[in-house]
Amino acid sequence: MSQNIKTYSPANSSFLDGRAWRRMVADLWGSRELIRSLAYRDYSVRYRQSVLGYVWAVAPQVITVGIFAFLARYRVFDMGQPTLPYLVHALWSISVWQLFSVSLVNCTNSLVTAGSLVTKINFPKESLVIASTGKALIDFLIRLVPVFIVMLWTGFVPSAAVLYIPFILVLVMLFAIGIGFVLAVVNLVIRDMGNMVSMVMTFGMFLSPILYPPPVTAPFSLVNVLNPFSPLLIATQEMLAGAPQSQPVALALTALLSVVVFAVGWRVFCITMPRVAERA
Amino acid sequence: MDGEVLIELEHVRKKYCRSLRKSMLYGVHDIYSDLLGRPLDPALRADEFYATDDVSLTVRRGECVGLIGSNGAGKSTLLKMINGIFMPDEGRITVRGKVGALIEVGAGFHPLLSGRENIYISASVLGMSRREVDRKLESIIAFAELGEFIDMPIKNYSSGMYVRLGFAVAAHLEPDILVIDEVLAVGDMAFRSKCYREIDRLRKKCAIIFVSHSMQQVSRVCDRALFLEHGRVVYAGDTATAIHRLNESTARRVGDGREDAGTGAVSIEGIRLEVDGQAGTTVRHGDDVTVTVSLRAPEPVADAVINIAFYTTDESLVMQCTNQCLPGNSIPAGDSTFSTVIPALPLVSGIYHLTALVQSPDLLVPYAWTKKILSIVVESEITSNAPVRLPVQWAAQ
Repeated sequence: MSQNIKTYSPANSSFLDGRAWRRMVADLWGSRELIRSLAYRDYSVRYRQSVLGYVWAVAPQVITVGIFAFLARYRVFDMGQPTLPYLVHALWSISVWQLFSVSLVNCTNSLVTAGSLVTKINFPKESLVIASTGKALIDFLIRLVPVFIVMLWTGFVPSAAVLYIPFILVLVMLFAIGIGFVLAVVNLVIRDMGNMVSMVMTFGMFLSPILYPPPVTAPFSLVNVLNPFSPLLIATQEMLAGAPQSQPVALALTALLSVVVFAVGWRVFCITMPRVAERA
Repeated sequence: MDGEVLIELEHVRKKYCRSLRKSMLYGVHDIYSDLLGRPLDPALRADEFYATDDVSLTVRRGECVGLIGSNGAGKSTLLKMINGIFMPDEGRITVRGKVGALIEVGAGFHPLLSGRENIYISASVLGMSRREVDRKLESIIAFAELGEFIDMPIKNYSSGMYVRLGFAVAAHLEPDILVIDEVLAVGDMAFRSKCYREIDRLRKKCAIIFVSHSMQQVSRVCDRALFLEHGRVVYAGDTATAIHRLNESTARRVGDGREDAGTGAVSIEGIRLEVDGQAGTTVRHGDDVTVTVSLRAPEPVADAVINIAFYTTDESLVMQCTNQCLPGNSIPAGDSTFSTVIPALPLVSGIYHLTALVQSPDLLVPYAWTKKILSIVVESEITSNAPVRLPVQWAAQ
């Protein structure tokens, strides 16, 4: 067993320490089964005591979009000219948004929900954070069902560029998990984080072109780039429509940002976790 | 013992902070330094103290070491550092092999899932692979003695079933290092003895660190022990001596719980234990102990029962020295002393609190009653489940 030697001493590895990074990657790879079990646990109990079950995954999304479609139709306010049919645009965008925001909220609460597990058992805690996004991911897949139904109904045929969408979604997840890593640790100490993130997410939904098409006139068009989530969302909308990418630079920068946020969040998580565990 | 060294602690120290606000502040500062990769100043800051102070320890495969000490002595802190939950502030801990911790039973259990599903989840949290669980599933279910209840949601389990399932999973981890913290206090007798057998089986293959407040468990399981006080190792060595040191220190502290009651017809002025003319509070199992009580009475009391009761630390009465149902004593006005001899003290090692009681022969009127008038420590190599042991010889018939 001598191959499995661990030494605990006062932390003194720097942020970019290559050995620490290798260990993080090895830990993450080693905990893939654990992540799957934890995600399975969270998801399988979700609708176990519910009659309508999976309907709850799609109901809020369909109702919100229904209300906005109604308002748009009767010109309560102007929805502009989306490249996609409005229903497809709104249902798809809200699904991507939910994937991001629910992942982030779940990550933030993941360690607090785990309770004494965090302070009593030694296992790669990052698996708790990552596994908490499983629910959001499966809900996202279920939410695609209404999107497909509406596509059939409106006779909309997505372009072949949809094959690139998964790459963008990976970036969305990395972005959410990266922020989630940091907020999860902070939430262990300052419990306000969970509520704060939920609130910010409610605003955030209106600060991205989800229920309305990307604005084209300044200053409103700023939401297309200032909100770091927007370029990713707009990219998926344009891939769906088969339109050329309207802001490739912003997309590239956000993609880079997502990866950096993930890496920084991950490292911060690993460095701070022991310090927080002794205080939580 | 010549097994390979599996756990090695070298001058380990851990700081804790008494004030929550400062603890947060220091935490932010420490995290900031960690992020920049700067070494920390090891000196204590305001309101800080060492929860673990300069502890060194080596445990080899096949050894079982007990950690004993009163609450707050730093046992759990030490366990958590060995388990890698948090890092020492100074010193080094080296662990070789897979660490299994019986600190929290039922890690990762979800109440809505069935026992079977929870086995998989708890096992993966503890570091077992799915394939490993598949192989051991039957054995885990059998160990937990759950039978047909294995597919019931565990929220409907009794607390005993819950603990059995949790322990069964942990017991199948096959660790090299096993850290056990007070989990054996739960479950019924039959399951507890099964856990002991399991630990006995594991101890040949692992290095075990065992924390318990039950000295009976410690002396049964451990080869040697560390007695901790305020984070420091006060004694490291054979289990009996460590337990004795702890008992002495505990007796000193709990000696304060004295309470007086009674009608006031008599007052108890003092009590003394003597062995061979030597007064003290430490006696040995099997000693002839002379007990002397000093009384004072404003008026003479014609007929009284004098009763010295021995309680264990968990407040159960184990022995009384009394002349109840025998001719009573008449207590003269003023000061008087009475003494008796307990032949071959039958108590086994531990701490005992003495309560002195002077009452009427019908036991209805307590003239004087002093609870915890004295705490004594009994030493012996013998530990047993019962606090009283009568050495007897059996004759064939």
